[in-house]
Amino acid sequence: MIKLISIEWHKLRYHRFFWIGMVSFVLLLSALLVSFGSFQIFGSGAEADPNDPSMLAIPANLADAGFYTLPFVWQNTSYLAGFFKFIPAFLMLFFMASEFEYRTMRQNVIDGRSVGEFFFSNIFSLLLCAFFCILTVAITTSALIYSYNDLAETDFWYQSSFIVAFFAEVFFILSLAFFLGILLKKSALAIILLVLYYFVVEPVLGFYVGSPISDYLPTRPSRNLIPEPFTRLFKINSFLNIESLDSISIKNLLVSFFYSIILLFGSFMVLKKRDL
Amino acid sequence: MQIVLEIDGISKRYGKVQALKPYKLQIPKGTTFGILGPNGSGKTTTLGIILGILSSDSGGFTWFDGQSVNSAKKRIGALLETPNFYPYMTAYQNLKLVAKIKELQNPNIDAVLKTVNLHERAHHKFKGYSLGMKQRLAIAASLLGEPEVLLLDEPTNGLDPTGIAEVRDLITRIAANGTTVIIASHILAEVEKVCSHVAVLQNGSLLYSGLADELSAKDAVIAVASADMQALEIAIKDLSSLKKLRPMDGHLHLSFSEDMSPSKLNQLLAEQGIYLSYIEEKKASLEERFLKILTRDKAN
Repeated sequence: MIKLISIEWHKLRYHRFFWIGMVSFVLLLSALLVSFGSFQIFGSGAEADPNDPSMLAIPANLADAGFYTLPFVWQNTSYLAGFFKFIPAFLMLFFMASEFEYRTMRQNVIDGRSVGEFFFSNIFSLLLCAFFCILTVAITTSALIYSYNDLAETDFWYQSSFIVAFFAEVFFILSLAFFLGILLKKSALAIILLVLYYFVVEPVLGFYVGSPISDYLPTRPSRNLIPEPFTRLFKINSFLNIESLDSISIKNLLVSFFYSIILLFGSFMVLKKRDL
Repeated sequence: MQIVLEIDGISKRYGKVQALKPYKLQIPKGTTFGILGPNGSGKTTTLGIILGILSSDSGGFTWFDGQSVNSAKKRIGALLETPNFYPYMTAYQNLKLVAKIKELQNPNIDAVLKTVNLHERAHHKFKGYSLGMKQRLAIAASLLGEPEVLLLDEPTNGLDPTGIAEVRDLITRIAANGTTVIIASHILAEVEKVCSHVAVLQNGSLLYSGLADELSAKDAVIAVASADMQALEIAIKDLSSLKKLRPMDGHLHLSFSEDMSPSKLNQLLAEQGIYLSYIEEKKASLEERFLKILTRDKAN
């Protein structure tokens, strides 16, 4: 186990492209999370009209609207961070595909590793990548919570389960990238297919098959894990009479993990069956 | 005689092409074993199978005393086709990774880099290397940990004449230390100069395996000449064991179906009053022999 990690770490530590990517991920994401609160809201400054219940007070910016306020903050930050998950996913995909482009996995096996050892040590990279993402969101969110909330009044961890949902979301997209990188062996092709599938094929397919089947398409549970937070934030739901989720759906969480495991198992089978 | 590797009926088919037909081969310990064959003859397929990167359709193979392939490979230094390294790492970092995979306690990284003359470029990134440097780094990697078996596929690929001579010299030195060396190559000179044993592959079939000396000793040709060539030819045609007679460069090249030494032939001819002005035993070089094996196989 320690041997596997030590070999994998040796591969990762000198990979400048990987670290440049991860550092820009951290910087971009934390910068966005910190500055998002100062974004102006369209039509801000309107006062609530006591005679007309449909006229709501519109706060000046998102921070005033409660973007950084407990318990909403966990959902808000993990939702936004979801848009950045493609950076680590592409890095993961590059990392895996290059093992085939440069035939280094083949050399690893010639030098005495089994396919299983190769696979499990790469799972370490995947998990490391996922924890890196979680840590970025958790640390930035904590900092925001400390600066915008009175912790004597509210519970720090209240509704922090969204971070688990974010982990599942990242874990899924990394598994998908991992699988495509191994299956296609060409990073450019794999990235195109990943983007095409995620943003075109599956949404169109989902539209045709309709609910509830569309809810079980591979990427759907991970997308639905963290509901869009703005209707809840602006309390639009209260007068539109829809119920916003304030916790994650266990069903989506399980289905998402299930798909991730299937993808990783599929990667293992591809490696096992393939002549190097 | 200890056997390092025993191949027992491995074969490989790619779609309609039978890349390798089942064959048996034993590689004794301490030998320098050449696997000869033109491109596409199944050399690399054989090596891929015995290193566990290709699956065999039939049969099996045994390394050392039936050790599992993965632990056996830690005792083998292998260079297969192209050199494969992580482009973003330096030569030193790449070799360190190989040493980790092979579980070497005190890897002789500096020493092997020195052996292949790369020590001055040890801390340069692999992606900046020339083809020859890459090949030399691959040879260095195969020497890590002083393996019991060295397995080299076309080791002089991409090297300049000096590099080729150096590698040949290196192989001879390593073999002299008792390391079993297996070389696959389509270049006969490479094998002929260093190998004690040879196996010849073509179109996926094993055509010959045995001592390199035996391979070249078979079918020796005796070249003769005398003042009266016509009389000589008549006398020789009377010999019952004559197999083939071919005039060439003013000599007659003879081959016989049974053992015939130059002295015996000289004696037989002298008895008939024919005195030779020239006699030479020409042992077929490995190259001639090799071409002969290949053409014989094509004729069948």
